[in-house]
Order: sequence, then structure tokens, then C-alpha cells
Amino acid sequence: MNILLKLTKANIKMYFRDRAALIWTLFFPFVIISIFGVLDFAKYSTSKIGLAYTEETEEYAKGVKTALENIGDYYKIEEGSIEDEKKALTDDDRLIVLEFTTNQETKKLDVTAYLNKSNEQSAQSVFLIIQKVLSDFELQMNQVEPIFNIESEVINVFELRNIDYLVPGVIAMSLMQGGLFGVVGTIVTFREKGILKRLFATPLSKGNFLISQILSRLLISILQVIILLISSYLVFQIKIVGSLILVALTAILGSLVFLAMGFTISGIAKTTESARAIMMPIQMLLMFTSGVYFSREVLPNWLFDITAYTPLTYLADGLRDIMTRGHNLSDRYIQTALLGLTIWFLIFVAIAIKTFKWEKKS
Amino acid sequence: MKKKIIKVKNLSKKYADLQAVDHISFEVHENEIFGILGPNGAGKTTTIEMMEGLRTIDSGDIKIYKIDIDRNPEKAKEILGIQLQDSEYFDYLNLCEILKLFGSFYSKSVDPKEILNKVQLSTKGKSFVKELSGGQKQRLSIALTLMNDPKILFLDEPTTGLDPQARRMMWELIEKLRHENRTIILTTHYMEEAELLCDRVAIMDEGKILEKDTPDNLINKLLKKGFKKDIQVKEANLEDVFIDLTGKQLRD
Repeated sequence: MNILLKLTKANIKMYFRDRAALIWTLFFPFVIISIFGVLDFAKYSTSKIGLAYTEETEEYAKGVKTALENIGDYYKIEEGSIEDEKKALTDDDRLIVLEFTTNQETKKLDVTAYLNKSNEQSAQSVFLIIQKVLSDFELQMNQVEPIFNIESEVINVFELRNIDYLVPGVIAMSLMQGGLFGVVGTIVTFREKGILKRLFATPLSKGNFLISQILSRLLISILQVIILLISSYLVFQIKIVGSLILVALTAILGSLVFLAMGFTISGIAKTTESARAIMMPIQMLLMFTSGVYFSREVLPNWLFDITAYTPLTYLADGLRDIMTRGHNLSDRYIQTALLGLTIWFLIFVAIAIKTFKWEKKS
Repeated sequence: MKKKIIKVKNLSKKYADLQAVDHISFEVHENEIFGILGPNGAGKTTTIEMMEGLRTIDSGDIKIYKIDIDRNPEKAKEILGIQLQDSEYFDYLNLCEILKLFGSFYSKSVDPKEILNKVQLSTKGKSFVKELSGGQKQRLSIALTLMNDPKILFLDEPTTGLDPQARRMMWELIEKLRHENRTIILTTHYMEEAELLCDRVAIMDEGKILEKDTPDNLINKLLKKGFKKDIQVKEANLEDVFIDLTGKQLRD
């Protein structure tokens, strides 16, 4: 017991003295949160509406403009010549362009709408709004009383901000990095440098050594999660709806999965260098396909289906459901996430037992 | 007749198709410095790692204080002081912390400060391994073998790669440890080192022990066969010149 405590203490001390590890596991994740938290990637698609009108049609165009502005500040209205507006539309800088002209024969008002194909759904709904605004005009001018009285009310739902989505994902990512680098940085490096051999030339048991490694890594992971949560709370006022204990348990389980994955990789790789070479692409791939920075919904369908089963997806989704939606153990999604993590853990442990080597292969 | 505290009988070890150690037998007496000499690949390290309980044996028998090492490697580790060939230590623990940590693995251990003093590293307690010179690193690895105050020390090439001053310092340290009533098993490439330090040596090649005796007896045996050196040996050699010019004290 005493040995276990002393080794664990020494491991944690070594971790805090290793600046590179500190930066990667504590500082870097928060930088990621800050960068992605400040930028709003949801606004990449245009919401500008272009109006082009003639002198005779100006009155109607302005009416439509006022009506659109009354809906709220979802849309930015631009005015200009039809040539300029159509150019802007083909440059993907307009959602929809409306051309107001007068038909010379019928003397009627012609409204032509040009819709942006890249974002057709939004363009169509704007087009509906415009049709409604124009028919209201018509009713008013003809002095017809409308039959329906339509009212709407906005219901408050849980608003998932970009940052709320991001924080659980980045926590999952840093747990992954901590687990992988933790094993490779200690066990593989120690093995390579002959430190393991020297340690086991003393009465120290392999069991004690392993337990202390896992224990110290878990403590560091918990600390990592706490620091990320507190700093994101202080800087971005993130809200945590669910149980903190469940967050901690999920984080520990996730950390164990990636520790086991680290052991698996270090069993296959002979040196620190080759372990990193295996780890990096796996890490990158998981990072961008497991809904860490952005929702997996942007992935093509086949990739979306496959990536539902990655350990990082289970961890990120699990943490996110607990933190932002307040889901608990009785929830189907949480159960799936925890089950998925457990299965991955068992798979990695099984492979690690087969492949792991204490001694340097010569 | 001195007490025989280590008995090795018919010891063998094979790696794939290489017979690393081939039926060797020898004994080590209490409080002697026993040298295992031989070219690279002779089987020196394999032999002592089997004696330390770090490697299993194929056949034969090793007894240290009547403990069967192959059956009780854990017991052996508790009482032996083991220094390995070129091992490294933790980057982010200072010397004191490394010694303390290693000490905690034994049921009883000595004060790290006392040990650092003994190996002349008392001012380096707060330093990290990367700040040490080659000689200091080697002295740290000797210090680590002393944490359980062992009666038997295994030193695997403790002077390889050291400059003449650091080597002389290591020799003094090894002599000092013997005077503290320890038994030392030493491997080396350097014959003058073996001649100076060892009470008895075993000369190995290709896994076999070719000769084992005191250095004096071995030399006399060779001379009796009518051996003559090609060049007349002078009273001093170039190393003596080097030490005379640069001084014997250690440069760290």
C-alpha cells in the first residue's frame, strides 16, 4: 500500500514537471475551447436577402423589407441593381434575390425570386415569407378581412450554444490524449530506456507498478476534467445540467478505455517513436470523426454510421448528454455510451494482455 | 578458507540457436571482488542477470546464501544490489527523490543523503539526471544499488565509457564498498581494472569459462608457458602520463 502511494505520488510529480505533457493535456484543450468558442462556425452560410426594384415598384419592395425586418434580425437585407444582386447570388453571398418589376402589358407587379441552390431549404422558407407578405398587401389593398387570425408564441427550449456543445467534446479529446500519451510517455519510454528493467531488479511487483500507473493517470484525468470545467465555466459561463458524479464516472471509464488503448499500442510498437507514429493518425481520425469539434451530422451517411461506434464518440456524446441535457443512467443514450465504452475497454484489455511486453525486444 | 556464498553449477542459457551460457560453474567467496571478464557477447551479462534473478535459467543451479535464485527471484532481489549495464532513470525526479523511491521498494532501506555522500554526490541531491556527467550518472547507479544496504553487489561494466579520472574514482568507490564487508561481482572489458580490483576472475568466451583463478596465478601460469611480451614494458604508460598531467581529482 505504502509503495503504491509513493509510486503514484512520484508519477504525478513527474507529470507536473513535464512541461510538454502539461501543455498538451491541460493548456492546449482550453485553447481549443477558446478558439472554437469565440468563433461561431454556425454562421458560415449566408442569410442575406437581395432586393432589386424600379422606381414604380419601390413602395412594394420597401414594404417587403419592413415586413422581413419585423420578423427579427435573422436576415440582412441588401439593396442594389438586379445585375449586382444576381452576381452576389452566384457568388453565394445572397440567400435569395427578389426582383420587383412592372409588367408593361398587364401593368401588374411582377416579383421574380432567385433562390440560392446551395442553401435551398432556407431560401424556400424565405420565399414563403415573402409570398405571405405580398398576399397580405393584396388583402389590405382590396380591403378584404382575413378569415384566420394567426398568432404564434416562442417556446423556450434548451439552447445548445456552440460552446456548450464543444466543452464536453474537448474534455473527451483531452482524456483520450492523456490516456494515450500517458501510457506511451511512461511505459514505452521507461521500457526503451531500461528504466522498467531497473525497477524490476528491485522487489517492486509488476502489479503495483501497473496499478500506480493507472491510478495516477486517473487522478490526473479527473483533475484535467475539473480544470477544464471550471475554466470554461469562468470564461464562457457553460451550464452543466446533469450530475457531476455521472460526468466523473463517465470520464473515468473513458480514461480507462484510452489507457487500455495506449497499452495495446505500446504492445505493438517497440519504441516511443513508433508508438507515436501509430497513435497520431488514430488520434487525428477519431478527433475529427467523433463529434468533438462539430456534430457528426456533417459527415457523409456511411461515415456517420460507422463513427457512431468509436470510443471517442461514445465518450464525447455521453459527456455531452449528461452535461448539456441532464440525461442520467436511466436514459437510453447514456446506457449506450457507457456500454460502448465498456466493450471497447474489454477489447483493448484483451489485446493488450496478448501483446504487451515488459522487456525491450532486442 | 573463505566462506563460499554464491555457488553456480552447470549453468546454461540458450537464445534461439545461440548458446549464450554453456554449462558454467564457479563460486564466489565472501567479501571478495570477483571479476567476470570476456569480449562482447561472451555471455557475461546473461550470466549475471541469471544470478540476479532477472532471467530464467535453462538448466543448472544458482545458490546465493543457499537461496535457489531461479525459484525465488523475489527473495534474491530483496537482498542483492543490482546495477545494470547502461540503464537510464526518470527525467523528472531529482536524485534524492529517485533514491527515496527505490528505497521504498525494499522492506528496509537506508537514508538517501548518506548514500549520496558515500558516492560523492551529496551536492547533487536536488539535481536531475540530465544535469549529471557520465561519471556522476554511473555513481548514481551505484548509489541505487546500495539503497537496501546489500551484502552482495552486482556491477555490470560500471566503468565503460568513463574518462580516466572518473574510472579511477569508480575504482576507489568499489574498493570502499568492499571494505564495508560487501561481496562484489564485476564485469569489465578492461584488464588493468580487473587486475587492480579483482581477487579472482573468470574469463569467459562463447558462453564458456576458459579459466578462473586470481589474476596473479593466471599471469604466472602464462609466464611458465614461456610467454614473452613483444615490447619491453616501461615503468609507466600513456594513461599514467595523462593522469600525471591532468591530475587525479575528479572533474564533474
